[in-house]
Amino acid sequence: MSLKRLLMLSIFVFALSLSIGIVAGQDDEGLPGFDSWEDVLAAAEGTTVNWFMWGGSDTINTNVDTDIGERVLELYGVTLNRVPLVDTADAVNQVLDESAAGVDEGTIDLIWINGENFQTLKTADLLYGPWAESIPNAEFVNWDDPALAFDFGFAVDGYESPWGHAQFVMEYNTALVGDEPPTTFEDLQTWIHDNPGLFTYPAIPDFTGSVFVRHVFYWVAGGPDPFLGEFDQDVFDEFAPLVWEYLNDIEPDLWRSGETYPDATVMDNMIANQEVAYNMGYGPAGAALNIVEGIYPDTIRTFVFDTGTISNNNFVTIPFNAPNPAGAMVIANYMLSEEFQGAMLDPDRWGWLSPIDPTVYSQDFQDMVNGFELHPATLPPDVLASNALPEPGSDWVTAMEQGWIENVLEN
Amino acid sequence: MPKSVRWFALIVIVLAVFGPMIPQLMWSFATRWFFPNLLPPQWSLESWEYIITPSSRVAEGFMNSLKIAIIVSLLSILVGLPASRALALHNFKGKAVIEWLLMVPIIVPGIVSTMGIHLVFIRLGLTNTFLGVSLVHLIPCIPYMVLVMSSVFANYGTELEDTARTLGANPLQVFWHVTLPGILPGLMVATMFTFLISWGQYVTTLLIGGGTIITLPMVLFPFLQGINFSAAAAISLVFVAPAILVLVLTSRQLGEESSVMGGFGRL
Repeated sequence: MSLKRLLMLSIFVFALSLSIGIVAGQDDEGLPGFDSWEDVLAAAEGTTVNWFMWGGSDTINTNVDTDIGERVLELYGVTLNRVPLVDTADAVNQVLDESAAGVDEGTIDLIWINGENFQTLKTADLLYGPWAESIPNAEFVNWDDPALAFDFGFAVDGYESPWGHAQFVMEYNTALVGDEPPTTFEDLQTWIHDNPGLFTYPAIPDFTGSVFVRHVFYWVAGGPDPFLGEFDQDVFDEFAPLVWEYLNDIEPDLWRSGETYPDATVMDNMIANQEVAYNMGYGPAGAALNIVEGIYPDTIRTFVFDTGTISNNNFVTIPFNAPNPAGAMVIANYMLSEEFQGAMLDPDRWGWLSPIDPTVYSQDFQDMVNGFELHPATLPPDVLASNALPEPGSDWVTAMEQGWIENVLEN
Repeated sequence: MPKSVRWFALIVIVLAVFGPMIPQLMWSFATRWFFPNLLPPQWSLESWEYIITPSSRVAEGFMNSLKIAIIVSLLSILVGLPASRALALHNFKGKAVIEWLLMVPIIVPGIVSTMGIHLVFIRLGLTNTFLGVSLVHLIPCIPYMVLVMSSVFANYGTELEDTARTLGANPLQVFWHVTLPGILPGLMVATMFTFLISWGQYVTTLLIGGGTIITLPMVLFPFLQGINFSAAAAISLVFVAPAILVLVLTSRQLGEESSVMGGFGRL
């Protein structure tokens, strides 16, 4: 290569890096592709947003269509097309496929997401953004809260906007357990041995089974701290044998003598029909909603472990090739509004928990929230909050799941 | 067959077909139905009310499924009829290979081929369209059309066609007055198969339709994984209704001593 050509090349590379720097500089202001929020609103008006989300609950489907869909149409002229999914991974695969085929304009505008699915898309650089910290209602979000800045230990960086808050609770049938459930792992162990066949947990890789096992890790380690940072094999090897020992000890007295583990949806059915006495899940109000819907008998109640339970947040994200990012951002923004978060907290309508500190909203909002009458199967928010624990990093989760399969399931 | 035996057979068939739907029907109107109750303690219209709300997207999915299944059935006939006739009545080089290739979509799981087809369809601009979804449904449908029709043609003599031609009938007249009446019972069964296979597609519709084409399985399947048995049962009943209807409508053809049954004997 001649000196002249080398010089030309380096000038070209310099110019290129300069222009990338300029583009990146614009991106820092958020809302990529738009000059201002007014610009976004104008672009969104009269458009349709394809929102891909798990569709197996008629309550959530109807609530999304009425409390989000109808409102954003009235307020911003945005039509919501909710696409029901069996599994969020289907949407993730579609984006991966489209990216492989070089499709600049896909069909998905918004995905209900968290954890591994988000990590997959963000790692592959297949998300639009960053935008989530730049929409107007992002001011209500405490981005310094590690539970919002990180999704299963993975940095959010403005690529997804929070929707709801979830916390693990145990469900129990008072007709079988009585009014005082075992709230420590020691008591639970005793209860299981005294009442063989009435306890089990979903088989990993089911995420509910996975989070139950994470709680056992936190319990043997005396708290979540060892599992919050980078994965460390030595730390893992220190605690894992104790976890497997506990789980293998209860195994003979589990449902069907622990020869098999059910999946989570089957467990909902099993507790409803008294085949087991316990169930578990991420929705603190799930039991109450199921009772109201006639899916659960009235005798189901919930509790949290004395050592706390894991909580996380769920989010919405926009794929890199969304045909309508403006409409998607308008919806995400509305979902952080006082009006919607209020509807979401209403135990008679959604019964969800909010990822937003209520004090950022008006006094009226706080009065309304404080006035909500909780279903007896739902624990008060302060009890949940004071027992909330963070999720471990996703590398830890993978190691725990793999370890369970090798040391408990196949043992 | 003596009359009593025929009645007995009919009752067995009706029970086998409709029996499993009785709990479905009860579930769709049931609420708070727990063990050990043999019957629902309380009845409710909630699930049926949900189905008729636009939020459930059941009506929309039903119409889309119907449109696609009809398009697919017609396309299957168009492609499958000539193919099955050629395979049944003629011998040619590579026939075994073609027969085997036609069966491949039954053997290979749909998700495997659909992933590849998705990429091709994206490039052809066929994703997110009715045509694209119909074409991808055609793949698992054609083997059934060809399988049934080639056994029909194998039992079908071409002598009558020759006679008609000798008497001066043109090809269209031969097809309309001789061939079609001869193969009609088999054709109806084959079309029923293709209709129902298209009707039940989920993964292919989701991938190729990209969520913009909502069919009935896309509405139903999330509920099958959920815990609301009542809603799942109600949507399931809507889902099986056309199948039952098609079965009843074609039962005469199935019952008659026709080339279809002879054809199955050869399979």
